[in-house]
Amino acid sequence: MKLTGWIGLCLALLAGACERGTPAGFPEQPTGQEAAESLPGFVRRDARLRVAHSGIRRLEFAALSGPGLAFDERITTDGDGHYALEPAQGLESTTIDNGSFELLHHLREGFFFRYRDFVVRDARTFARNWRVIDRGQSTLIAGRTCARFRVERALGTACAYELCVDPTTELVLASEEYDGSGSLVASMTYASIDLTPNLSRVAWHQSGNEETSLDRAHPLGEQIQARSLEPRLLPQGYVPLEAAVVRAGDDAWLKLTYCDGVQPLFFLHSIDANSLGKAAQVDGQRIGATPRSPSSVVACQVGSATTLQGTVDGFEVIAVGKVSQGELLDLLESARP
Amino acid sequence: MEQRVAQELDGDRSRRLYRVLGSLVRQAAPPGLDERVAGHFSEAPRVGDEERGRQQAEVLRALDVQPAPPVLERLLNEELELPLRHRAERFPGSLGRLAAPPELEARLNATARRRNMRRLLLAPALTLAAAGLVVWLVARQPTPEPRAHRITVVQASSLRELDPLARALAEGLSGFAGSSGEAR
Repeated sequence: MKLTGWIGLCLALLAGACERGTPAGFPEQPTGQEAAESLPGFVRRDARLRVAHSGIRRLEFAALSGPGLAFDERITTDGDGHYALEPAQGLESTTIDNGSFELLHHLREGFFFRYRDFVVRDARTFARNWRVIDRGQSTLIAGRTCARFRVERALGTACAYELCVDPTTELVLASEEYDGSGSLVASMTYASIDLTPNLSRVAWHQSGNEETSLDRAHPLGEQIQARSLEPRLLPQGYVPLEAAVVRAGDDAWLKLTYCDGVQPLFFLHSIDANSLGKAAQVDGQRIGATPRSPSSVVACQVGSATTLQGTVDGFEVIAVGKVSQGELLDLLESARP
Repeated sequence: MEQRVAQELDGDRSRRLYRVLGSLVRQAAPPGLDERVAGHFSEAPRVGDEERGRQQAEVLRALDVQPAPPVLERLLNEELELPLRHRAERFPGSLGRLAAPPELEARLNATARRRNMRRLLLAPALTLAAAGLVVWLVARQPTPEPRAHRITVVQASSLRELDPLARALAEGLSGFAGSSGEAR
C-alpha cells in the first residue's frame, strides 16, 4: 500500500474512533429557542422559585487539598419567589467553628441561593454550551423517585453534573459537580422534603446589600455616569447576564455577571470617584476612591473558583469564576480601554 | 566525422551517392568483354594513345546498357524528402561503439540498492511516522498558547490576601464559607 493509502486509512480509522455517539433521548443539540424548548423542564425554569417546599439537604465541597467542607442546610421556598436557607446540624470543617459558620452562611444566604446551587440561568445559552444525557435510570431521593440526568459541557472548559430530578416538581433533589479532570467538586442531596410546608414562621431572605440593576441595552457608563470597564473577551461560551451597581459599605462597584448557561462569572470594578458626576451627588454616598497604579492582581483558587483581585488602569477589579486563571486574565485585559 | 557532417550540411550529396551506389549489387562484365579487350590490347602497340582511346570508347559503347535499379531511385527520393532525418540516422550508425566503463555499472548497482532500501525500510517508516503524527494531532488536547498579559499576577499564599468582597464571592461561588486554607 502506498504512503497516501496508509495516511488515508489512519484518518478514516481515527475519524471513526473519535466520533461521539448521540446522547440518549436527545438525538441532536440544536441551538436557540427551539433547543431550549426541547430540553427537560428543569432546564427551562427554576423549580425552586415555583414549587413551595421545605427540606433538609446535605452539601459537601471538596478542597484542593485536605478535608473539605460538609454541612446540612434547610431550604424553604413559598413557590412565589421567597426563600430561606438556614444551616442545620452536621458541620464538618477544620477551618471554621459552628458559630462563625452560621453567621457567614446567613450573610451569604442570598448569594448561595442565586449562584451556588445548580440552576440553568439562561436556557438558550445552556442549549448551546451543554449536553443533556438522559441516563434512563431512576433513583430514590428523599422518598421521591427521581430521573437521572448527566449534564456536561459540550464546549469550552470540560465539567459535568450528575442530577437527580423529581419529574413531578422538576426540583433537582441531588446534584454532583465534576471538574474538567473528572474529580468530584461538590455535591448536594436532599435528605427529606416536604411539599406542603408550614410557612407561617419562616424568616424569608432579605437582601443585605443595595443592588441596583442596570439595563445592558444602554451604555453602562451613561447609566452610572462614570467611566466604566467592560470586558470584550469572555471565556468560551459565556454571555452577559446581568449588570448592576452594588454598594458595599462606603464603596460602590459595577457588577457585571456573565453565564455559560449554568455557571456564573463575576466581574466587578470600583466606580471611579473622580469621574463620577451626578450619581455620587444624588445618592450622597462616597463612591470608590481608586488609586492610580500599575495593573496588577492577586490570584487565588478557592475550591473550584478562580479569583483575581487587584488594580487595572486605576480601577479596583475583582473577577471570579469557575474558569482558568488565563481566561480570567484575558477577560481583565480585554476590559482595558 | 566533423568534416563529413559539415559537407552534408553544406549540401554536398556526394557521400550519400557513394553510399547508395556502394550498396548496389555489382553486375558482372559480359563474357565478350574480356575477348575484345584482349584483342584490342594485342594490337595496341601499333596505334597511338589517341587512337587507343577512341577505340576503347567504341568498345564501351558497344556494351549493353545496364539501367539503374528502381531501388536507387526510391532511396534517393527518400533522402531528398527528409534529409535531416536520414542524416541523423546515418551518422550515429557510423560511429564506433564504445563499451560502458565499469564505474557506471557499479554506480547503477549502488543506486538500485539504495532504491530498494528506501522502498523496503524508509517508506514504511515514513508511513508510521505520518500515522503517528496524525494520531497525535487528533488525540492531543488543544493547548492554547499562553498569552503575554500586561497585568502583573501575584499568586496569593492565603485567602487573607484577598479583599473581603472578593473572598466572599469566591467562597460563595465555590460553596465554602469561612475557609482559610484552600488557596494555592
